[in-house]
Amino acid sequence: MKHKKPKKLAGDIVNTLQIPRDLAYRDVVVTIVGSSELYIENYKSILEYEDWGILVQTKKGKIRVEGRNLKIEYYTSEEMKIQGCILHVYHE
Amino acid sequence: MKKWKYYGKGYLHIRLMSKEPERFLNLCANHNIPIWDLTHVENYYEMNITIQGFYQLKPLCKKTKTRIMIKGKYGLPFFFYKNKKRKAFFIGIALCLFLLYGMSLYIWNIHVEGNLSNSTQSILLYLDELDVHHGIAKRKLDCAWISAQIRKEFPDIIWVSTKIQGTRLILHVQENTDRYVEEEAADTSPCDLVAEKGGTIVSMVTRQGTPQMAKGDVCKEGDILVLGRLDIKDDSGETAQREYVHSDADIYVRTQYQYYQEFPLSYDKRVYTGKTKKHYILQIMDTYFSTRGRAPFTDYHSVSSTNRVKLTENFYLPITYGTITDYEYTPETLTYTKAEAVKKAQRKLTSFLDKLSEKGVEICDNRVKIEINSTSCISKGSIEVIEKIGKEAPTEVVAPPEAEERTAETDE
Repeated sequence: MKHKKPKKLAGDIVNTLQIPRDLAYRDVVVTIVGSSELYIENYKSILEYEDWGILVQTKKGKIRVEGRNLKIEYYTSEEMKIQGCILHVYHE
Repeated sequence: MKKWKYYGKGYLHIRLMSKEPERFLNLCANHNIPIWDLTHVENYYEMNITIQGFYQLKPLCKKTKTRIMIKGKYGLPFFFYKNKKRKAFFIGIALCLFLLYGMSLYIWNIHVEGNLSNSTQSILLYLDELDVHHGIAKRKLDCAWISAQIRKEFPDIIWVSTKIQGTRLILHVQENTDRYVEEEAADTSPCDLVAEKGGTIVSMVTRQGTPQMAKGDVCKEGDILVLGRLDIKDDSGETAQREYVHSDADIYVRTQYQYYQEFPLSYDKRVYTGKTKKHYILQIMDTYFSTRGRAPFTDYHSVSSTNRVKLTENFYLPITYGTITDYEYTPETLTYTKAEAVKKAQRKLTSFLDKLSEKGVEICDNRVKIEINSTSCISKGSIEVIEKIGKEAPTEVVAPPEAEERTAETDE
């Protein structure tokens, strides 16, 4: 009970200051541009990479991107850009 | 842009053979090793990696039991390494850069903007006098000084901005569009108005001075029309005081011009045969080259059209090229017919009258007769005109009236 209070307070501060969730909680941001470009920000690591699918670990669960001829244009420890024919994106 | 950065520093295309490729990739990300264009081909992973990144891979490979194969080397460092024996090539590049830098230290174009009444050429000529010319070193230029000098030299340029942009010297000038001309201070020294021509006065309006003649009088050349002296008389009618003024009057006289014009009836005419010959010319400094050998025809006249080579807008080189075309003709002696001669004489007379009119002379009567004899056409007669006269001449200063009186008294 004791450590719950500050968490609620932190949540309130975040809400009052209107800080975006991706900055406040490091929530994952997935941006899809058309059907061939996809950006994932705030991910943790790559779990699987094949040319038909990519599985990425985030803070709260995993995200799977499926498609054809998937290519990672670039990736850093925080962000990656995927190119190729994107068919599905879902949480696991 | 990023690709160019990688190209400049050099990068490798590598193939990954590993049982745990994802682990290897995550380790790369955690060590901030830039990796791009990652593809999965069959059982291999292929990617691009920077040279520095590649050197950091060794411990990661050991950790994940990964084998790496270099598929290709790209970028400038590899390019230089491959071409290290081609010295002339690199010397050429260096020389080119050096020349480019060297050339950029000089002015290659002088551009003048905003000038309407002062021609660009006249401004450039003046700049030449200031020792500012094409090809001058940029460091020798002082823009503020140039602006000041131009404003001094051209009074109707009211504003000059001089700037160096790259290898161009840009002069932005603003001219006075009001056409304000500084009026000369009115001459107030005492003077008379003297007739420079004889005639009958038809109108006379005196603004300042004592008129010596009136409308209807006949004046001769040299007569004083308006005297620049005012005699102020007292009650007894004697001159009490004399004042001297700058005479000013509009005086019009009726006068005559004698006209005589004669020209022979026969004249030479060039009859062109239609034959032409074209030659090319080239002039470098004072040396002159031409494709023309001997004179092509016995009688001909030449028309040349030349162009000067210029490097930039106003940067002319001492090289001229162009063509000379010779037109052949046969000289023939022809005679004017009576009608033609009269027409020509009339044309000459008209142009003479037009010139008079331009001077502000009003033509009243034209008594010119055209006569044609066997060899020539003579037009003679007189032209009566009304013309403004009056030439300024210094007024003779007469002793003041008091002095006269005093001398008279002493005489007594």
